[in-house]
Amino acid sequence: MTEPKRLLDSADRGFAERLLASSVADRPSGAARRRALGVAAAVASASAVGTASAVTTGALVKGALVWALVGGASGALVSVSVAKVAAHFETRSPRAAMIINAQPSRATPTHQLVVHTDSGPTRAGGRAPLPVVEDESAESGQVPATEAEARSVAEPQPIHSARAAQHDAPSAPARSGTTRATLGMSAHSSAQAASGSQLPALPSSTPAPVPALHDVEDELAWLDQARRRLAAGDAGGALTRISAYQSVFPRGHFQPEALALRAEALAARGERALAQLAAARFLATAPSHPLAARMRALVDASADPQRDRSN
Amino acid sequence: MAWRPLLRDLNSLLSYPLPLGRLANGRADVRLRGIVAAHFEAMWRLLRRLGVPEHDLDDAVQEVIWVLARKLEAVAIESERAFVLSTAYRVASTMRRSRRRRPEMVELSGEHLAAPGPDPEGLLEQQRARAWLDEALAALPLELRAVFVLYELERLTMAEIAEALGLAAGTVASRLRRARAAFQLSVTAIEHRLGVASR
Repeated sequence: MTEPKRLLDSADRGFAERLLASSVADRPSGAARRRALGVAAAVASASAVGTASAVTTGALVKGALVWALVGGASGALVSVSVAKVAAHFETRSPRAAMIINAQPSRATPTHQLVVHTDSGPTRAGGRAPLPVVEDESAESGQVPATEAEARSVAEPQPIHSARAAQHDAPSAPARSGTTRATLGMSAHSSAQAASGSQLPALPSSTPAPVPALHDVEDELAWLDQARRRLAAGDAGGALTRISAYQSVFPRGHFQPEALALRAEALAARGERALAQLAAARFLATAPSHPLAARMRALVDASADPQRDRSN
Repeated sequence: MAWRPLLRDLNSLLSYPLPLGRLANGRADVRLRGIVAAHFEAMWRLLRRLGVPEHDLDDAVQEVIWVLARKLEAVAIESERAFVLSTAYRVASTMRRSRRRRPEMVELSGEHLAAPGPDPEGLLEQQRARAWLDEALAALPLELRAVFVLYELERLTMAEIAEALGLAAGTVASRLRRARAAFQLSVTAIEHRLGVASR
């Protein structure tokens, strides 16, 4: 095969070449890279590399079945998240303002709390022999990656880097002009760009305390992605993102919501035992959370497969 | 005649699923992260040049990683880059087909055009050039665009492109030819519109 000379290698610096050259300088931001690495770490640890092929298709079908059920809950999640942001800043990020339009959930009837004594948070680290149900058993063996597990692998690098990313950002406005704006994470970048005028300007040389809004917006974007995945019927994709969130932001503002979303996603995938575990952990840590009723319902539904199917 | 049993031993040794296999499995996550670290930039740029909108880039990247994780064992070490890029191509074309409207996300992209920097003019120039580049590329059908971008920008060899996209060598060559012609046309049209002297 004869390789023609590449346009960029030609001595000719015409308009076409100049346009092509502009792509060479087009680079993802450090934050985007770190997010990708965070996802890689989460995927690797959470979904048993190389063996998860069957998961997504099953998840799609199941996700489609429960999507009506889940829709309400994820709406609630976002609403709660937004409420938190608002509480933090008494302010209006445009992103939050947009999300806030998400459909609020209908009230879920409160169900009796059915929590197995062995499913409390204390056991989170262990790979418990869960009473896994029906044909999902093979998968749930791999996915189990309960948060603790996923975290143990993924934690070491992303945390620092995630923080570092936010320190980097303000100190390099030059790059952030181009690259931040080209972040994949739309909510993050766009909200920042949009709310730039409202944020206190940081001196470019000082690694000053980072406005927490960055964190929150970033966190929100992660969860929003997970939520959208779940709403689109891709529970596997949602779980990946949730795992990534949980490992990147171990002390994130929305850990309870992430856990709730995880429970929903697991339920959507038909992994009732794991969903129940996640829901129970949620209830143990945030019993009075607005989503608690929803989680109780999930625990109940999980406890009764017939009921779940009828949904 | 002593070499025969020896040979057999060697054979069995070679075919024995030694720790090597297990090691590879145990290191799968390390490998995955390594691949992502090494080829993230290329995949990101390819996705962009293939027209994945900014607000979908993270999703697309994650999709590629997800596929990569699932198929990792089947990916030979020497074709990791090709695999990543071909997956990115598939993801981009899938997203293109099934792009759903996401009203809450759309209107936010492009705001970076106003982002200040130390050299706003240079920056703006770059951004403009990139926008034109994307416009020019958008005129190419995706299968031509992929070959063009992989060859001209990501500097894959034609053989690598053939492998990555599962095409015959001749097809790559002819697509590249057509893509170049189409790109030039497209660029000329933009240039004409802008009234910019090309040299």
